[in-house]
Amino acid sequence: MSVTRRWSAGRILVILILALAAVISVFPFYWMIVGTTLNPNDVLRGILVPGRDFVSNWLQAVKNYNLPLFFFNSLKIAVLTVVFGLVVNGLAAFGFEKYPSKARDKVFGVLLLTLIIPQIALVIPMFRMFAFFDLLNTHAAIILPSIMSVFIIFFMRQNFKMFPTEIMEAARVDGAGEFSIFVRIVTPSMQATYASAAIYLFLGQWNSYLWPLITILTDTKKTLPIAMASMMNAYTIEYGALMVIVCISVLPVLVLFLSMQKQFVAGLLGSVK
Amino acid sequence: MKKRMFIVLALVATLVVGLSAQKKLTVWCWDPNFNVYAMKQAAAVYNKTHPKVTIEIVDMAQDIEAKIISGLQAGGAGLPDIALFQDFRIEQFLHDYPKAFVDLKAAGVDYSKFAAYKVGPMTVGDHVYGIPFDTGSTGLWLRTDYMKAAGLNPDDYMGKDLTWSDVIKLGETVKAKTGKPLLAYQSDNFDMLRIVVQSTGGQFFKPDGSLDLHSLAFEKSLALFKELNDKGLLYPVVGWSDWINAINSDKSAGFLNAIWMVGSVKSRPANAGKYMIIPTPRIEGVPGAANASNNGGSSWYVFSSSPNKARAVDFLKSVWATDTPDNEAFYNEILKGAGAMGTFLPCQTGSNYTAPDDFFYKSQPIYKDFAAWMKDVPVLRYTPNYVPMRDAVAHATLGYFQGKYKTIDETISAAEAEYKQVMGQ
Repeated sequence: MSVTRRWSAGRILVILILALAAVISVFPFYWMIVGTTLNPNDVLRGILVPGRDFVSNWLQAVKNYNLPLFFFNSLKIAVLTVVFGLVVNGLAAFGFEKYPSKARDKVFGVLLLTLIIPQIALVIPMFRMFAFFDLLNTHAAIILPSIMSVFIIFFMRQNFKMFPTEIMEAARVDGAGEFSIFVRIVTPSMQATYASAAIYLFLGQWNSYLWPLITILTDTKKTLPIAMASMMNAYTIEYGALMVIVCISVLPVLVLFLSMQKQFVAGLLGSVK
Repeated sequence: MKKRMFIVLALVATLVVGLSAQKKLTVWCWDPNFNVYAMKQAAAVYNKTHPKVTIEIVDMAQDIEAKIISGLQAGGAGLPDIALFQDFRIEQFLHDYPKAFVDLKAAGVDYSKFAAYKVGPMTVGDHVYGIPFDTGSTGLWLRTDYMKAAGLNPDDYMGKDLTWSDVIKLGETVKAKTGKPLLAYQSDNFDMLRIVVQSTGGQFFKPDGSLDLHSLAFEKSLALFKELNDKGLLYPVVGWSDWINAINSDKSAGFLNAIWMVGSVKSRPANAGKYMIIPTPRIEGVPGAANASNNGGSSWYVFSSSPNKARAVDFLKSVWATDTPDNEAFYNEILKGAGAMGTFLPCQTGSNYTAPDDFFYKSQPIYKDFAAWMKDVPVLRYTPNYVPMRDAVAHATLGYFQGKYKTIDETISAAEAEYKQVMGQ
């Protein structure tokens, strides 16, 4: 292969476009990190050279906010949502796909229809419901409504379609119960699907704002997005401290995504090998 | 016997728990360095005489209104005893939930001791519902270094009640010599126009609640903005962050805004010694116009649904609305600690109110000035429909500046049309 072919005009163009895309995607992260070291005015001025104010920004952020606690709250809520969400939605998707009945498609249709109801329309009825159950200001109030996700059921059902029903029948012949078929045979081979669903559920809950904002009533139950929002409405906004909290809140998402990147992509492509 | 003892003990325990629950107050507000800080100081003052009352102050995001609406809709579920409301929002709440708040005038608060303009929005007929908190007393912030560079002597302007014509003359001189527009202007925001309209004593709505944009006050204010714009005296930016940035990166020779800008201006050490603040300029030819106005500010309200209403009212009344040496020290302290200036007039004589401030030009005692201007601020009734009006006027004004609307009448018609559309009229 000749050098000239490797560096054809088209290839250079592709590399340039990709490089540009990479810069555009990475730049906000760079700015975020640099922002933690600048004073509020320099953040606004768009200074891109690291400054010396990291310590004062950090102190400002932890002075008013119990960051370790908020971080722990966010993590706890997100992880529990993922765990319960995978179990409930996985079973539901499996049931919808592998156990045909007359009502099945109608029920599924109704479920899909609920996707068009905007969250804001449900806030007040849900608030009254949780007030009735005496669950306001609990993390359960945030976790419970997010466990069942129509989108995740739909997504997992699409992937379960590719799981050969013959294998299930063979297992039945060998005497396996329906539940143990699901747990022992189906689930292990659908790891990639579960990984993608986990990332979806985690991200959705980690970033969720409106519902936690409304149901959390005390400082000790707060999550990171709520803390960030309350920083934005001061008479004098501490942008440097804000950047510190933003950095902290992005960290778990980065770790999760980077560690599960392969499964995530495989899950999107369909997971049965 | 044992059984009976147990029942008695259980009863006593319930009683004790019940009583101690009575002794806890919950307050919702936002901004840890300002409102939360001030309320914590107030709680400390109250605890001196009521050591057994616990006052829990919860820092909420400013979307506090969404939470409060949910709570009110659910018959008071989850609501605190006391909450902070922005003055421009409260009239909507008083209108939509007339029984949700405790009438504090009936509870004996003397409102003649508060700045009059703060009391207006919280009044419905004979009822007054809030305890006024911070002022957004405004002034014209000027960069004396640019004035000097333009050959002007800042001392000639210090403390002067100017008219807008004087200010335009000043702006033209500064612009000609230094190239700096006089005022940083957030073009997607209504606040600066509101400051000018409020200074005239004008209203946006008639007493019957219908929109009134054809007043002399509003038409003159709009004409003034167009003139400032056409003469290049505005440095327009979009968005709050860019506006702050314009000020702190020397893009303009000043701005028109409230007392709470002190924090942002001081956050840049290079501003030291450069700014002076003079009274809000007055529009000529409008009867009742003053050299004072307001932007922002909030007040405390007690929910009727609170089981501890009496305690909550007593707390607000005895710390925020009573003239004692302790309270004067409290108001003095929050001015220094947070830059929070209260609107309770008897408590504005503390040392921090009169102290010269070395950060400003010739150590101007800025708090003394803001406090003096505060007393003259005309009352603006926001009404329940303030927000749709604000947005409609802001959009139309931007269109006027961009040449989309040619005349003031056209601009006002556009604002009225948008308002009507949003209100479904």
